[in-house]
Amino acid sequence: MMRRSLGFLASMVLVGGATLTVADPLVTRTTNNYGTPGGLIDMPTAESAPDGELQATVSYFDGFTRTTLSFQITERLSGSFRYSGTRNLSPDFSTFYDRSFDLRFRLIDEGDIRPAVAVGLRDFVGTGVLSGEYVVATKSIGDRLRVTGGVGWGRLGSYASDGSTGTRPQFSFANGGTGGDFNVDEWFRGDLAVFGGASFQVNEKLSLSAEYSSDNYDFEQNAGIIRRPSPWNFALDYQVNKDIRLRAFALHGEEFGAAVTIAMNPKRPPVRGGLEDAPLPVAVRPAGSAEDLGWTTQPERTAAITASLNRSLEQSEIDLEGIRLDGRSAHVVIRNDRYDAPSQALGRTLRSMSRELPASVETLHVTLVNNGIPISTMTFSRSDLEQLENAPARSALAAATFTDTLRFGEYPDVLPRTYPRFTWSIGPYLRTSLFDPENPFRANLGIRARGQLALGKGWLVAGEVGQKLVGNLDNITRGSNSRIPRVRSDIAEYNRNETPFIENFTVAKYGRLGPDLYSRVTGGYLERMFAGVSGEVLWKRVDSRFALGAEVNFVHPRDFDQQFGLRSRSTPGGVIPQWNGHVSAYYDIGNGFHAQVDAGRYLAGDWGATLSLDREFANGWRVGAFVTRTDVSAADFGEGSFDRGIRFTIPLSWVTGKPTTQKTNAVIRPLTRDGGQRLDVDGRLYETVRGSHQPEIAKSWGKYWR
Amino acid sequence: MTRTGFHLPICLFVAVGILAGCTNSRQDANALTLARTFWESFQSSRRDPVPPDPALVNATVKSALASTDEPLALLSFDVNKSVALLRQIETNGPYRTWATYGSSERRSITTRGGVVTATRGLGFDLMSSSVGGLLEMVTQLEDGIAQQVLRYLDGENVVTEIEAYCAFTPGETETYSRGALRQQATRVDVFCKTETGRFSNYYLVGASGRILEARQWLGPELGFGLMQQLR
Repeated sequence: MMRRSLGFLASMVLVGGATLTVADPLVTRTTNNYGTPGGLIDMPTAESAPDGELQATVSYFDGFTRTTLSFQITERLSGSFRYSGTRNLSPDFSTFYDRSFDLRFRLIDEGDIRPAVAVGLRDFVGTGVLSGEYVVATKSIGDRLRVTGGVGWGRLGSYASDGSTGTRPQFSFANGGTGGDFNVDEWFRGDLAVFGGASFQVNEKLSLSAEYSSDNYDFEQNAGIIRRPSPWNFALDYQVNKDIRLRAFALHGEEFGAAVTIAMNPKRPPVRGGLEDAPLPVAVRPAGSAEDLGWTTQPERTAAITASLNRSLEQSEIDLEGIRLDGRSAHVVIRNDRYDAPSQALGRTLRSMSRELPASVETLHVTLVNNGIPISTMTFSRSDLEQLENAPARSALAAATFTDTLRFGEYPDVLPRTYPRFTWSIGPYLRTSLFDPENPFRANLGIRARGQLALGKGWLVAGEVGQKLVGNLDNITRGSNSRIPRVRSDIAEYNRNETPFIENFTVAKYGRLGPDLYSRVTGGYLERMFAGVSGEVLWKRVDSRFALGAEVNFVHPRDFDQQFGLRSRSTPGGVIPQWNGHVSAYYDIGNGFHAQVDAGRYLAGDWGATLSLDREFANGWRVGAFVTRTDVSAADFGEGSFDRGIRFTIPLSWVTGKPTTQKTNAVIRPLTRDGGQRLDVDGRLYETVRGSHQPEIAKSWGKYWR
Repeated sequence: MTRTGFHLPICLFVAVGILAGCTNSRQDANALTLARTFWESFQSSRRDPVPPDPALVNATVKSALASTDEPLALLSFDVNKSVALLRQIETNGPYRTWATYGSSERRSITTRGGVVTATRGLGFDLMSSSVGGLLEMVTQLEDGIAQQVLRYLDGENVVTEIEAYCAFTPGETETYSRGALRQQATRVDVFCKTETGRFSNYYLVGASGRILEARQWLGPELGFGLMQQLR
């Protein structure tokens, strides 16, 4: 017998040994001076950050500051957004600020002998002062040493060039134009040069690196702000804790600098599985009890059951809006304002039902309500609930069915005292202005109050008022020079406001036009800059990852003081049109990616389309990018040529480990101009509906039994 | 129980801007709750856990045994040296769900045949386990190998599994004496190997094949738990 155990353990050791020879994806948590994943200094490598890693790096050496946000979009693809400032680079600015985007794709994974190979674009949209392309190979030798060699073009081909592939226009401030376009025909063109380097992991915390740089800093040398007697750079990296890294580096035997990197990963929350209280266990019915239908003859029993179920749900902070009981089935309508994973609200509701409903009730229906309208109904058999409580969660998912609530003939009546319902909150707000060359970071801190009155049947009255307390947003002096109707570029005028302001104040009506069809009409002070009426319809099947929508808005610009007044639609750039709107297609591609296309007429009357692509994590994190092209010419659009940006959604539950539906959204646009701008109305249908449909619920199904 | 990581960048990020200072709705996170969460995680990362006084534990067990007829058990965790007196609150087939005795704290443990199969409300919870093979080996005092599956939620709230292959070796007989129980028990030592590590559990099995004491590895963060039956 013992022999069997030993033989088994020996076989496991063999299996363990075999896994060591599988290709290492060559992961690093270090970023270089450009803030992109990699262990060298100015030069790129073929390494990647762990999937989903977000890294913010600030690196500084005499007169040069680079602030970079990098995201490991997939295991192979990483993207970076950089804001760099260079002192005295150009006689026109004391500090020349520039925004740039990078992409890198790992083509080949490392093998036993084969190195990992990646191809990358540095500063591939924008004014191009940092532009360069490369093909790079990195090989690990043992556990600690990684050696890199590559070929670079553009900036990365500027020192000791070994040849050239065609010609490439030299960057200058004069031919920068409005910038922002993809200069595809210039990629991998012009002089090329080789670069290389190595990094060595001394211990868990400390690593060293050295490189031979092919960047000649031509532009900066010409401006007389850097000397470059040697091609060699060196760096020392120190990992302070799992979130923070520090680096010191020496460039070209002339400059010393330092960098700090702060990292986080949506896949690594502070607490996995959450800290919330335990749910109630399932109560299993005694054998034979299900036959007893006697309770159905006592009408007062229904009221007692409703009251006890309500108390039980209250303990889980779930609101009961309606209930319908008959001998063999029960249909319960809930509003979930607590659990960011709706599966958890469903799981807890069903367990409460198992404890409170008469034993004869076998079929359990739970309808999720959002903004006053039913979105979907999950049906679960009570016997399955009893049998699957201790089974893997996937068995429960297989046993659940999701249906559009409208397909149920008999919908429970709304319980008395559910409406009207008033909710409010008071708290601080922070409003920022980024990337103004006169002051790249400005902010206002203030206090705001929100209120929402739900009247039932999809009627919602909502408003938000605020008051600035401190801040320097009013110092913005750069006025708009827009040549098209000024729908967003007058932001400085709105920011100058010192008096209380109404952020929004609206009346909305949500509705169901039919199975799979949802509607919204919102009227009032829709957003900071526009008042009017916004109407929307959405078609989405309850089990589908695809949706179509259409929105039409009638708008009028609001006064700069953001009170009740409206201002003229005439602006120096033209008259703001009253009508705008879009048709939209939404598709959850799978593997954590989501795409959205909106096509139509934008606020300034320009026609075009927006493509948004997001990496979505099942815990609610989203990191995405969007780009809008409209019929506004690059010249009329002004600096940047077209609208684009990156956006984030961070669920607060991820931070605290306790369930909450609250999340924070941030959008970073390199530039905000007037072309390609949409109305910013609250409560659009797709976000209202999507979370309660089967594909989204299935993603976080692990929380069902939590 | 829970140790939470202290995420500096997140704190900074969340500190302003998204907090609802105070609210009457369930939806918004209250600034005070949030501040308290961070304070607690900060504190717990600093405190050295102290085990409770055994005399106090014994006294609590004694008074609980005297005041109720229901099944009781003690559960101790190595990681924070905590000891909890548990009472059975629900049964589902072979599974028993337990909660802290004499406390309204909503944390629970589920067992099957005296083996912990799930935890709730502890953080890094064990969501469910497959222990059929394990129970067969242990209760029949067999020498051999069985697979055990432990399920958790990963950072995205998706279920992940740890598969452990365990070798069972019945050993010496000893006297088990806890609470109202005093009987001879056979110790079964278990050595388990997972894809990334290994752990050693043991079970004390009474004459009727009942597991009286189980010391088991519950997960990378929860560490080892010791479940002792008292009645």
